Amino acid sequence: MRDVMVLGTGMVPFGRYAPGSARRLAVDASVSALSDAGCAFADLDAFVCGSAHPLTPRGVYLAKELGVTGLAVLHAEHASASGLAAMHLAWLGVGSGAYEAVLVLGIDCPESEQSALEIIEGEGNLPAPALFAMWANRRLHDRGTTPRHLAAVAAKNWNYARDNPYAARRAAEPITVEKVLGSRMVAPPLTSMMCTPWGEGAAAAVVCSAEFAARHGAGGAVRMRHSHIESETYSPGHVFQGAIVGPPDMSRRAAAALYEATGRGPSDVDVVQVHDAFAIEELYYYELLGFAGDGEAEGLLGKGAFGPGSRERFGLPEFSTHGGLIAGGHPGGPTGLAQVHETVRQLRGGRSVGLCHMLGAGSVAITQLYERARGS
Amino acid sequence: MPDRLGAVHLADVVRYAGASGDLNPIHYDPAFNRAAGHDGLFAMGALHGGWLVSHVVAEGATLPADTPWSLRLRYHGIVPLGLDLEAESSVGPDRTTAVLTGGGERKVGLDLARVDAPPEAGAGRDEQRCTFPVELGTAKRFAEAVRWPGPLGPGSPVPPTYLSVLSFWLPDPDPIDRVRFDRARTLLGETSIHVTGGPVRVGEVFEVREYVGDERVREGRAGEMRLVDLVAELSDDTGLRVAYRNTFILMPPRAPEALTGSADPETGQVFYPVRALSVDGRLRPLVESALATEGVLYSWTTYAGAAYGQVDLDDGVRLQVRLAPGEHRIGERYRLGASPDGDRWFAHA
Repeated sequence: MRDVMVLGTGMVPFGRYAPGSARRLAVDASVSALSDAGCAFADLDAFVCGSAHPLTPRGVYLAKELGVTGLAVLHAEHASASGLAAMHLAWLGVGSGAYEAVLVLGIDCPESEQSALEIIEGEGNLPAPALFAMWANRRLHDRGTTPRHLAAVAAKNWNYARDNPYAARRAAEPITVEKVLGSRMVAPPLTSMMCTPWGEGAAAAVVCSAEFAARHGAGGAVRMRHSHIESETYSPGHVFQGAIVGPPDMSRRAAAALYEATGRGPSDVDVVQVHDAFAIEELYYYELLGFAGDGEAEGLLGKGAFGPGSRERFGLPEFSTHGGLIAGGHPGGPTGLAQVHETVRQLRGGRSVGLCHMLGAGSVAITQLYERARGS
Repeated sequence: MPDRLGAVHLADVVRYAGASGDLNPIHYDPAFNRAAGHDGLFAMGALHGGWLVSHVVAEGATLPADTPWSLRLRYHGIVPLGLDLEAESSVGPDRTTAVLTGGGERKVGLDLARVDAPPEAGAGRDEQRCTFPVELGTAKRFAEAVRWPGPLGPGSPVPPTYLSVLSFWLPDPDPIDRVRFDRARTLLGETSIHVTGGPVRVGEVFEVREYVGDERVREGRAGEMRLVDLVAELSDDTGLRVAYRNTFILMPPRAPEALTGSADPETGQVFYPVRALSVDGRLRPLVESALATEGVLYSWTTYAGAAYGQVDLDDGVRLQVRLAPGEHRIGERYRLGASPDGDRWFAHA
């Protein structure tokens, strides 16, 4: 594989958008990414669209809003992981030499109202909050985790979102653990402030070769080192029916594969974006992605690890620095692209290595490693 | 030769639900019907029962004015929507009998006869009262729903089963609430109407006393059935005119069927749901296998009023399932059971 770069990113704020807004969102996010990359739609040879909701207009229609240029159009669908799945296709396309420059768009904004949760349940799954509440209750039982630990994860992400103009939930005041614990109970022990608000939105990135990046003023380019997609592997206790996503260990394997492919390890990673649709997940991912031993996450979190200053104080990465899915929002397709957008922002700001992680119903875990470009 | 009455369609059910006040969703809501363990929508018994009454009246049966009389409708089986119905009747001056059949099965038996004694007052629990005016508008709508022959006007006799609309006036109108049976397992077994002083007519006004009779138990093929009568007595200034009795049957709970999964003959591992091939990608065929019905609760929660859990069955399958309501404990033993709506759930073993 040759080097693959992310030359520019852009997005619209996540939140509620009315049916019929998809084309505008697609154009706004794409133009913002192309402008950040310093190139035009006419310069691209492929367009990959990641979306999860079946009523979101498909990429082949959205591409025409940006130009009618005959470029390759690909679709990526992996539920919540659709955005990172689209990045994966672009990475394969550019890395293999098939394409020079690819616009990756993550978008979800259905043309008529239908909740994504209903669609997930229509596939025979339990409501998502119920599944992750069961992850939580088992951990409470095994590890002595308390609802305060879950609230601490959520409060951290809510407070990161206060500085992110694109976040769906931006609190006027700092969010406390008590405030999170006191919000409406959804599926015990998960309260509404520990759960993602879903929503709509769009986010985009320009993925290209190093040569293309050099031609278009590569100052802001970051390197997309590797992308790994992991589907479920059977082990005893595997739930086949109704579980939305496979066992937590999928994420452990997806991270290990990423480290092996890149020669990087957890100690190299400065900043991490994860599928924190529910606060219990992020607590698991501290361990599963290799940043804490099994059973150590709660203790580290209690000391302030994984939040602001974590890298400097503990040598551990900051997690969900744009507010995560809990406060940043989780429209589906664009969620992974918002992670990439945030990772690029962090790398341009001086961080060296960023990791993105998403789960998609069905299920897959996708991990990607991004690095500051050499010499920048 | 039997007479063809046609089939009950959803439009007939909707019309009868509105006209009679019988809004049990088991007859028109496919999801509720499925959850109650049925294979499809079926008519209210009193709907095609009413058709049968109208049919014998059209064939010449009369509702006597000079002597007490009684009408009994016995319900033998449910009538799925779309099933063609036939009536065979024998109309006589003192007694009329008829049978409604569909798909070769007896569905309703009718017996209309002059009797010697007028109705007598009885007693039971949970008495409620109302005044019941026999209105032309509601009677017309009901008559249409049961295909009553001939037009209705002031003073016309109403269809005998019109008394179903008492629910419009009673303080607690829902008969299944009144008898305290589980709606999903309750069927109407029999309706009997015992009348003196001539048929009920448009324009009459009655004082009604309604009560729940004693509960009986009967052994059926599927287990123990419970039967209870809901009785309404209609009086006017001549005294007790009508005793209107509906017998409800609570069917036995359906025994939950063990779930079927697949076993890998080589590894002994068991999977749910059924799958054709081994999980290791070697394409070994699996064999069907009944799952264990007990296991240990791995985790649980509640969401939107329902409890959900993951149960580690004794054969190694982790099942994600509904749990019975209440508090649950990780690590304790649970057993497959049937929820009242006919679904499966797990409860403390």
